[in-house]
Amino acid sequence: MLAPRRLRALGAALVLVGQVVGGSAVHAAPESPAPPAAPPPEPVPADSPAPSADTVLDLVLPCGLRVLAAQDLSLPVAAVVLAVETGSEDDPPEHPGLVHALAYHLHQGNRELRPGEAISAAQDAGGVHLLSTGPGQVRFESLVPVTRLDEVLFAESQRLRFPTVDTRRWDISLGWAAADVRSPPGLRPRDLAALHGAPGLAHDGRAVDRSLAEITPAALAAALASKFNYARATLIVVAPEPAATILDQVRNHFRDLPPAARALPNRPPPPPRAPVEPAVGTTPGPSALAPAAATGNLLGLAPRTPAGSAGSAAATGNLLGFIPPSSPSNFLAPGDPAHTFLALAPAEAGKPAATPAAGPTTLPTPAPAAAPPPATAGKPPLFAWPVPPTAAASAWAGAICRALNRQKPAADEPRKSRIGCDFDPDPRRAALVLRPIGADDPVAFVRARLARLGGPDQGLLASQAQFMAQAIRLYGRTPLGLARLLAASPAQLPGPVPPDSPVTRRRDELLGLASLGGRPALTLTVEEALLIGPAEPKP
Amino acid sequence: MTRRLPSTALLCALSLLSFGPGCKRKDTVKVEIFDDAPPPALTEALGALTPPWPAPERVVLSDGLLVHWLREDATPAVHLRLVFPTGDLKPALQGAPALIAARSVALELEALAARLAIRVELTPRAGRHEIAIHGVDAELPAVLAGLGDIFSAPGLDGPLARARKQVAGELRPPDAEALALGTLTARLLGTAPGAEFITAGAVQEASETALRDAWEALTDPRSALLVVHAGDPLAEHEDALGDLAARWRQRVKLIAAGEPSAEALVRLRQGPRPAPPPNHHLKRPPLAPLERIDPPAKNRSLLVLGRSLALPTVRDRSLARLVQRHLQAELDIRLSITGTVGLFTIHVPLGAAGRGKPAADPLEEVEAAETPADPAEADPLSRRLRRELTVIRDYLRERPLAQDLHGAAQLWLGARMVAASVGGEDWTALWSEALDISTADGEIVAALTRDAETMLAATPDEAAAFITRWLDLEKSEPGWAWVAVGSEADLKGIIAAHSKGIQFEPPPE
Repeated sequence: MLAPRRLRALGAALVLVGQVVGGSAVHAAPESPAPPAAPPPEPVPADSPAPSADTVLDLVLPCGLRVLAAQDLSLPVAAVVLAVETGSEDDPPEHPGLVHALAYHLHQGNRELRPGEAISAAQDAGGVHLLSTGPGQVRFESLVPVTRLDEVLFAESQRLRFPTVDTRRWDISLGWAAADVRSPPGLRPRDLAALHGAPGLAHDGRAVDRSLAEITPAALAAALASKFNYARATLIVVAPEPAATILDQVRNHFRDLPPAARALPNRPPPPPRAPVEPAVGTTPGPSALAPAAATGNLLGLAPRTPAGSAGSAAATGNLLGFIPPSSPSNFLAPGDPAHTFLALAPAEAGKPAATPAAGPTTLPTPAPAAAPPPATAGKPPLFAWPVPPTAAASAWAGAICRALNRQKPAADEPRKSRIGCDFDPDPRRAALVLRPIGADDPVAFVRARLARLGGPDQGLLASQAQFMAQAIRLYGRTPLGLARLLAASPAQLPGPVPPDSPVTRRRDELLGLASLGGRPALTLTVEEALLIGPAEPKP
Repeated sequence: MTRRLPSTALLCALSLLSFGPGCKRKDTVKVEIFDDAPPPALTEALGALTPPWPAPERVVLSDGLLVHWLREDATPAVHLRLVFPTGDLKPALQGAPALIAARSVALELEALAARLAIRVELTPRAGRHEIAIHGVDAELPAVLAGLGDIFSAPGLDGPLARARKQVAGELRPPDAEALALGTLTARLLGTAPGAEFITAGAVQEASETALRDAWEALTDPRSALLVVHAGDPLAEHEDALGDLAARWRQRVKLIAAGEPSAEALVRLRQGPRPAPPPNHHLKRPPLAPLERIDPPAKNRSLLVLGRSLALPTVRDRSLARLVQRHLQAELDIRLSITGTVGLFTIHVPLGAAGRGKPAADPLEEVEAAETPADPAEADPLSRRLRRELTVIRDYLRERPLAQDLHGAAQLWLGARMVAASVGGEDWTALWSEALDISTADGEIVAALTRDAETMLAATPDEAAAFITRWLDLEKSEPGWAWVAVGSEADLKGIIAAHSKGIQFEPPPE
């Protein structure tokens, strides 16, 4: 009833921690999942811990499905999340919105499931069933009494097997998809695509395009088979039973599927960007991380390396996917204060963002600029960074954002200057956006504020990291919360993993909590930011 | 008027005089494991879809506050639930002043949220007000200290004024359903008509003295219960509880004789026993009179049939709940249980009444062509209600199937746990439910499990016998009342038709 500020902030922080799920889209060949390459791997557990309440069993079944099983004894309920590594960035150019509609169509049943049976398996026993779609991941989530776990596992073990395809049912699915809430306000699709270097993100994945109604049943079956299969999915189960028992239960349901190798989409890391030149008359200051790296302080991170490289501090696993229960099919809840950021202006031609320069990949949009846009007519540019789909990076993004929002103006800064930081916590395509306010030289201002996090504001950052850790622990306390967090784990397993051999992982590492106690797992430099147009005033 | 507490020294001296070792913190806490009845085993609890909580700790603090402490290992969350009984019918605890007082406490707790990560909920329930505080484990000592601040604050006028304003802003005029339920409840439980409602006028007219008296009576620690769900054992917070007891003292002028009870259910059910149910039937003499109530604006007409019944055992209550869940598949039937008294209500909307244009019904056209001998038969609304009541009667006489009962039980029990999980896994809320269905403190810890087991084990014969005995509209035991909400013009046909008892369709020839 009462919503105190700190708790709201805690809730917002929970959402911030992010929903990382999909991988990166392979725009050229979305229907053919490439061999796993790019997604940042989880850290290989140095010493595999003994199974306990703080561990998670990680397994790849012979059919290619990855399973994460965890025990939670607080209440007799079980959470089951089937996370498929496909999303709107995998839409073919000629059929925007296809994956979103296909996700709805997977409720239409198959030979074993009548239409809606996967939903009623949960709801008939007093449970809940939710669908979440995003740029890189689709999740089917159930929270049920533990006595109903077997039925829900059966439904999930059938869901992706030759779903029913006929024109009438497809029309119904399109109706459901059209009735879904629209994409929440945020970075414009083309800006998000530029930020992540993923052209597949440059459209609204929730819009139901007219072309979708023309798809033939055969094409529909082909699209379902290529984008939704168990080899690119992870099944997360959190229940009161021991994890090993859960795994046995899961094995029974998937035993009859033919062997298959994991086949995850290839999502390359964001392209490096050319350094932003300082505005005329300003002294090039150190970025937040460069001096930190030099001094070994809290923010002393090495410059960004491609995700998955061994030196990445983010290599402690992934956290993702918070979805507010009230908006089951949204990664971002419209109207949620935590999500109201990213009201970004279009990148105006001629005065956009980062200089593409020497990077190996050129950005599709916005168009490169010769120089960074300093404060133009009172509208400063936005500074955006992609956040790697790891739990640690996501948790640190939340902490950094909170710290930046709480910094006080320094003596040499205008009295009303500040930074508005927003974090879009998508599990696979997260973004952190800064809006400098009241500064004469936005670039120097942002650079100085980032540098302070590695210097005098280290304590502030540490306290916000602690806050994020608390928020994650609270969110992961319930089975569904924990399952969502685990769904954000990198889909790619580290190293060669023999099929059907469970690995015990520490829960804190998978959730990014271990990282929050140490050095930041996220690199933010002004030089690597994507600068997006002058911001329009928020409505 | 502002009251000032005496100085700390004087307070301490008075406390010492009144309570002996009241200021010796270590002596104030005498913890005992609450294991009068052993908690259900883990597998038993999981199988019955009930929380697998261990035996809680129980302590009566030096100020008389009863604390139930539920420990869940390693949980990062903490939940506290303040339970303030209102059921003993003290004048100060009735109506608007008590609600305003409870809201005042909630508002003061909300003010703590500026520095603590907590969320506060106020829930008025039958016979008590509950204030739940949800936060994180590290801040439990600060929350307890905050409670001490609130209950030892010298000035109440400001908080009470703010609470009055908020309650007034939240009040909505009762709709037809609330009117009917309130009237029916008063008749079945023997309370004063209107006692079930709090009106805007009552909120505005409550005097400051009445509010202060209500606050002092409501927050008397000798009648309150604090339920805690935390990761730490009680022993780790003994000092904080001792501080709380030292600061949260009774303020009522008359000190009740004797020690405060260590039994939660004694505190919650101190009021007089509810009146025996009315000795009325719907069809046979003595007949329950059909009472009409004027409707609030823009509300459809409604008929509510209700009955009260004694539910003295856990088994009775579980069976009643199961029957209600089963019948709910077809009927709008509701059940509220307070202590050992259950109250069933069946809600029958009266369709187009009040709008002047009855919905088209082919049967009515046929009936309209005939000239009824009885003028009451000419009323289409009355005829429609008669058909509706016949359908209800016949459905109540259908023997339930075993799978239907099992499904109803699973749905009820499962939904309760899923809702608790979605709501943050607050064991104190479930403990509150366990209080409702227990008759002695020793039963509380296993009450939900026993309730669930009884539900799951119920047979169709038991359910059918229960329905026949208590819910059959013609043949059940007495204890019925009924109320219609609607304008006199709309309902005159119904009132006339049912003045000699509930009417059904004649059996087919």
